[in-house]
Amino acid sequence: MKKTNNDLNYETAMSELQSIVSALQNDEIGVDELSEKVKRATELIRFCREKLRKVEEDMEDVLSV
Amino acid sequence: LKTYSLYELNEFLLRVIALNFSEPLWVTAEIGQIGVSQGHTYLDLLQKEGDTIIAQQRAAIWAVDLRRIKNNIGSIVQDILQEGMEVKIKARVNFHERYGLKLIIDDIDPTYTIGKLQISKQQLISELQKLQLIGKNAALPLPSVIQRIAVISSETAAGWQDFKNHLRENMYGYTFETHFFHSTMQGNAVEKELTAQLINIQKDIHRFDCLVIIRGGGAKLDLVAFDTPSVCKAVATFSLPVFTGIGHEIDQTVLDMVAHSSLKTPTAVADFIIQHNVQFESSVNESARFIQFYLKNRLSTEGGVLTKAEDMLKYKPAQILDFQSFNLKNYTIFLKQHLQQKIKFEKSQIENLEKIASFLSVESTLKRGFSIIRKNSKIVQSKFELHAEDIIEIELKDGATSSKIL
Repeated sequence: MKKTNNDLNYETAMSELQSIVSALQNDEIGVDELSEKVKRATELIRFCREKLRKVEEDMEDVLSV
Repeated sequence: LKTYSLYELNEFLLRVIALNFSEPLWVTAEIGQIGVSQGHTYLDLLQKEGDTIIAQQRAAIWAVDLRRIKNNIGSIVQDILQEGMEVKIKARVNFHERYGLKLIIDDIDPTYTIGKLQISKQQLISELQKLQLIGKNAALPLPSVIQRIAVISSETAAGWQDFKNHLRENMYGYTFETHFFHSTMQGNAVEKELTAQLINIQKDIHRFDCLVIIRGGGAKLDLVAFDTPSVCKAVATFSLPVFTGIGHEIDQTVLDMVAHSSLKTPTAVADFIIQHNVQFESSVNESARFIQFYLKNRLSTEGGVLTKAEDMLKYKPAQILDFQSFNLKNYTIFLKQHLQQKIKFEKSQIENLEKIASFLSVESTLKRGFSIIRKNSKIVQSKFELHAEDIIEIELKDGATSSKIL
């Protein structure tokens, strides 16, 4: 099931990413879906990184008080 | 019977008493009322059995004698000469025609009073132990931060000022809210005033984090009020933690034993409270450091997972594509080889067939000595096809000839 980015949070993004990665590792992804899956995985990584960066910034704000 | 005037009678009594009590003697008693007039001390001595007074006698200490006694045994005299104290006094039995019988006190044995106090203190301690009141207040949890402090002390006590100043000048910048409740900290009134203030504070209990009972220095027997059952029981069962700093070095009062924490001096109590708050602040700082540490760790772990996934995405798809094109190449080679083999096989098949075909050809059959008989250009395959006079054609390896059947 493909989710839109609106429903995405770090946890769901991470678990979707993990499942793509492990499918890739176990050679369960065929050539037909390869580029689509890789594109999706890259998108998820970008989303997660963005989240982490945001958390880091927020925490810096909070802890510097 | 002779009739005496009152004076004659009293003069007679005086002589009887003077004769029988020429020497001073030691007497033990409890002090009832006590008062001072023109430098002289006047007391009522009592002896009780339970609550009943079974003996009572007026006594006095002349100012000059009191000065001498004080010089001999020290200022403890003031603490002994209090209502309710058990005393051992050396007295002359004095009778005056007008003022009647009076004990003139000449000396005091302080060890007797101290011993008595010690005994009643021990009795109180064992009673409190039986009631499980020692340690009861100490079992109360302290709030994480102590800021709202109820103080029972004497307005004039140096200890109260020391306490306030010490709190105010704390080096951490903590603010404190002290609520003062006055009570005498010396003499007989302590018990009554202190318990009354405990009741007052109890009414507003939610406004305070703890209760502090402090006073300045003082003589040892000054502390007697802090060994009374009513004060000790009230403090032991008090619903706020009670800290004491009643300024004594050697002996512990029973009040100290039932308090949550007992410190030597008012400043020590202030330090105790400040340190308690410091502990809380450092645990908060500790938590903050932990959160920062955890966060840094967590972010880098999560980042690591993402980097790993990213790396995977860099090589894995290419690997898959490489593998697939390798497969395709293999298929091509396989197909080519397969085709060649197939062709070779078919070729040899054809060659074999050719060989068989040539072996079975008419010419080679004729060469091997067989002949073909035809009748009317049709090959004869059975003797029943032939009849007499039939013309047949015989083909041999080197040509054909005609014959007639007999």
